[in-house]
Amino acid sequence: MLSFLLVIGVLLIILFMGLPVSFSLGSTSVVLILLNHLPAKVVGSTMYSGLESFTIIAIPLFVLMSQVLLDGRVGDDLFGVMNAWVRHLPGGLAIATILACAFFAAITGSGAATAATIGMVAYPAMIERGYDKKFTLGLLAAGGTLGILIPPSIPMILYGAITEESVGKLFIAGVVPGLILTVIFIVYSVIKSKRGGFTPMERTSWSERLRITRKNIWGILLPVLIIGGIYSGIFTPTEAAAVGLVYSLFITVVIYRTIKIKDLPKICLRSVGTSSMIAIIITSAVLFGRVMTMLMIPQKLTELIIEHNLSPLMFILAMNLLMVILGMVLETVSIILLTMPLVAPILMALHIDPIWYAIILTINMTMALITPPVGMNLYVINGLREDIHMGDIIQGVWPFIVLMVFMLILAIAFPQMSLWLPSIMH
Amino acid sequence: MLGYLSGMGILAMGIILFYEVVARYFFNSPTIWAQEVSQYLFIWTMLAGAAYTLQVGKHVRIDLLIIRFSKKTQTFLEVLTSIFGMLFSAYVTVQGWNMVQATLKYHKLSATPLRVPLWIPQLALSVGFLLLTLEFMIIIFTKFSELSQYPQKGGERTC
Repeated sequence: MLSFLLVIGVLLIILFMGLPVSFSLGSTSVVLILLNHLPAKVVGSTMYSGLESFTIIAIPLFVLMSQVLLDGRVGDDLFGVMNAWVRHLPGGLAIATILACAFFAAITGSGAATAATIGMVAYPAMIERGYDKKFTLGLLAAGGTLGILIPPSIPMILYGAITEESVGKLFIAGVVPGLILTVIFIVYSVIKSKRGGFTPMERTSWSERLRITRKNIWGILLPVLIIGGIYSGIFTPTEAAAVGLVYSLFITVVIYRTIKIKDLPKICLRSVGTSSMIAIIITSAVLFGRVMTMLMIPQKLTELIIEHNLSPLMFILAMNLLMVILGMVLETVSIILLTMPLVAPILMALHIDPIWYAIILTINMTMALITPPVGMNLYVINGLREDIHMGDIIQGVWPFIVLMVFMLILAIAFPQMSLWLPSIMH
Repeated sequence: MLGYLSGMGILAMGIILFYEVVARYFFNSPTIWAQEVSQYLFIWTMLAGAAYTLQVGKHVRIDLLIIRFSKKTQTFLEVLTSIFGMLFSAYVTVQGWNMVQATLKYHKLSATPLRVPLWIPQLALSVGFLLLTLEFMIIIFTKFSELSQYPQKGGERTC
């Protein structure tokens, strides 16, 4: 146990000194190998095998798809579409923002891209109509987090790659909780707006609604294609990513003509950073996990937990607490890759359904995206405009953190919420 | 340049796998090569893109603590951590190379109909981390020369 604490200590020190997460994990592993005289040849084969997985090929494909949609400005009008349908309701603009976030999230799987794209149009519109600034900022930051719960979701691909669960099932498991969280956000916004006494905007005509929807129909169909294709078993998540990518290229290059062929190399280049960053963390985390296993650390942790008769529920609660703390300082990819090699064997020993846990973990990760001091979405929103201050965002975001905790309790109390849809899948 | 190549590699993977789906459903003849080729492309593009990612500072790090230090301390820490990163990358380069040599010695082929010599994808690990080692060296040299300018300027921002 002492060696385990020592490892964590060394890792934390170099992490906080600013070495990138991937190299911190890797060099800690190498130090452990040298100190414990483990065979050095595991380094090559383990790091190589970490990348030899058909599942994780989906990551660069989804990242590139998201980049194509962003550069092709497919999401820009989504807020307009939602607005046309719901703006006459109380809190209509807020509802439109959330729906646009949920939809855009379903397209790109990226919380940061969602917050940035929808925020750009929704923020000025909501402020102009007298919505509270802090509420608006919190809503945008939180709305963007729906991206990792609603498929496609990069954190779930990583989870699947480590635990060897079917990514298709994980994706489908996220649908119902994702929709419920969306509804929770909407209900809160309506209540908040009613108190604030905003005057609803005038209803839009049916012809206008149909016109703007028809204009954006290609973007709206993409989630149907991806989720439907995976759900019906027509293609694997990795193939869904490839199909989604080609579809996105088709609509942006041929139909909307927002992307020129000669811009493609630049767009592809922009997706390299994110993809490669994740891949290098994966390969280092696989090495780290392997070294841990060779030192029997996951086994010892599991024994420790069994010895102390920790119930599955207690374990899940303890993990939640840990995730909240980690979520304050780390981002989602690192948290999942850092903890899952240690947690997966414990889940098995305690007979905790790994798909259920994946959903709980992902809700935890939505919180990690907006818990200060390090929350990716907070920075994204902060970068939207000059006059947005971090203090306002943080004040605006905490009611949404409370709502997410509520969602977390729901997901823990009702496992069938996550497990029902995947159980009837093909 | 490598960045562009990696980017185009991602695009190529997408097109290959899209072709696989089309071939399976519309021509009823799944390919035997699409999965495997895209797998090798993935390994090569991700590792070849890693040095570019380091160059543009996209490898995610915890800057919570270091942003509170002075510019000089930050530069110093970057040199220090980059030395760590460089040593690690060099180590992986050597170990990756050892793996390739073992593969060459036993003429290992992939266990698929394609029978691809495995050193082709395996070499990516060594090459990728060699590039990372070099990139870390460049960072160490540039930051180190920045560091030697500090005493006169005293913590002033250089960027």
